[in-house]
Amino acid sequence: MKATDENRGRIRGTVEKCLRGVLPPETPLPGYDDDWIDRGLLDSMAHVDVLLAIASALNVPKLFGQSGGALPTTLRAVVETICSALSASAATEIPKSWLVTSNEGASTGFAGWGSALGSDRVSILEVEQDFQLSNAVLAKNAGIDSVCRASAIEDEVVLGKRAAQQALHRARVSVQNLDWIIATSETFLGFPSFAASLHATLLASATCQVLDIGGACIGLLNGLTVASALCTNPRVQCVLIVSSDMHSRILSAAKVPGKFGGLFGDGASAFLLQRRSQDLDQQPYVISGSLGGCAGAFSSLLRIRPGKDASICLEFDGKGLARAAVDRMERMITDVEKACGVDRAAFSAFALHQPNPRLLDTLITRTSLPADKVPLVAKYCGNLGSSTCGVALSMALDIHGTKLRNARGPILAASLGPGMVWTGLVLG
Amino acid sequence: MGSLSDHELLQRLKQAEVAGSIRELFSCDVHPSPRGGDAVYVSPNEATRSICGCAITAVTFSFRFFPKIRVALALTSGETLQSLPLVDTEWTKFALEIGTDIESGQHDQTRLQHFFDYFVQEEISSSELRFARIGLSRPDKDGFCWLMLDSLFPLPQKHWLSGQDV
Repeated sequence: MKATDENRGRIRGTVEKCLRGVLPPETPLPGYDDDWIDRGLLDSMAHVDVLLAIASALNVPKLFGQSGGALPTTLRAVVETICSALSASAATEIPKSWLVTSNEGASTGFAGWGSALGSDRVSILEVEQDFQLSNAVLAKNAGIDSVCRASAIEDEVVLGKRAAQQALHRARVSVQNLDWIIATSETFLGFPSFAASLHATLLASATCQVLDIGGACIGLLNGLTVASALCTNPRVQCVLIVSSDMHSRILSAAKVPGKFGGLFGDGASAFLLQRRSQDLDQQPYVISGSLGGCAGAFSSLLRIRPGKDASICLEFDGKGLARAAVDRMERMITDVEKACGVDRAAFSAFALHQPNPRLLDTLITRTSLPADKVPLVAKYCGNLGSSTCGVALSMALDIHGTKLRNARGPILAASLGPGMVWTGLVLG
Repeated sequence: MGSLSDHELLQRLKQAEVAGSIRELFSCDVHPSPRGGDAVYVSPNEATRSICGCAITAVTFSFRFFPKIRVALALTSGETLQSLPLVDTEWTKFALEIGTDIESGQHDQTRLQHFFDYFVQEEISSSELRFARIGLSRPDKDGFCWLMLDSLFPLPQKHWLSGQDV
């Protein structure tokens, strides 16, 4: 199987972008057959870095160096190596996106979605008073206007159920038809687990399987990734994915510093992936690719675990975490753009994790994202943990989810969490 | 001139700067590569030294780009450093000896990777001398000083090769 000229051109473009990243600005790109090492453009360390950057941009982690032969040192050799690697691994046309999967033409898509917020909206002034913070530190430094907190009768299951019912209603799917419920929560600690509790409260059928997923702020995206994989089994027709987080009960003023605890709100989101047979123009959004990883170098910036006597042990380097988070999100957006071959301006929306609004502003500025394409959640609701990205994605789908394919662009959902784990999903 | 055992050498090195976490290595934040890959760098304006030791709990080697070798380390803090270029001459010489066919001069990175994965890493894991010295490269064109693995303890031992199918 040969790569088409279009694919070869796209590959070359990606390679040149990565090479540009390490060459001094005044140095022109080498010719197609120029040897990077012989011409003194790269030393051996930079050579390895370029190859790693290319593999990273294409999200094919072990693209080079697997066969044991000499490493490619010209544009032609690199392009040929990539084409050969793909030809050997795929029996089909090289996909437009190399983000792990290509669901183009697939029939499992986002048929329903919904969100639910804690019903008490609390001004940030009140939050600061609760945590005995002075000088409007959360309003000024974090840029939060208000947070949503659950009322006395709300918990993770109540909010999760509300979001799930919206998703089911929008998709016109009976809860009895669910094959799987996948659930994530960074605050639900008891058993029966959150997924089992949702199964019970929704009264799903006894044959509907349940799965709890971790990952804190990337939990929802982990759930969607798993759901997408489950849907490759033709017997799986409907998968419900739910996130729900109730920080106000755990991150209280008595347990954590206000500069941390005051950032969080309560909320939930839900999505229904359903197998459908319909024409491509009306096809709902599908997960067309994913990328992710874990950068353990930054794992100590946020550590949180239950302590003795219901206390919370917290290690939190706010400034370091902010810097690492923005760096990682920026790189994720760049990697997705390179791998899809789609300019970020062509995306319809960016459903992003939002530790706080200031950080989001910084990210939007650094990545030149159109601000009107980034649904704001943390500014009015607080950081909702795994549900931040979910609520943002639900807002994006409210606008674009029912448009015809030719009237919409892709959506990027991206998040990161403690341990510096990150996940990005492209909905196309 | 006398010579020091590995143990004595390590004791001396531990009297120099030793860090318990990545941030303590150079008293500043590390940054991920903006170019892709998992290497990390520090700003020379922020770093307060150019080399520092740290205890490690695990190590893996990658020979995908052999003869260049990349190493991943886990620190006792639970943090990890991925894709550190290995510049320790003892270790690079050891790997070159194993990975280069004497007759043809060709590299056999698959055999090398297997030997390190299934034997060398176990030797390091079971050693009481697990220790690394992380150094900084000179600033590159962007002013980035990349972290590198300058020394890895225990040092490789010739006797590891005896009885091994390498």
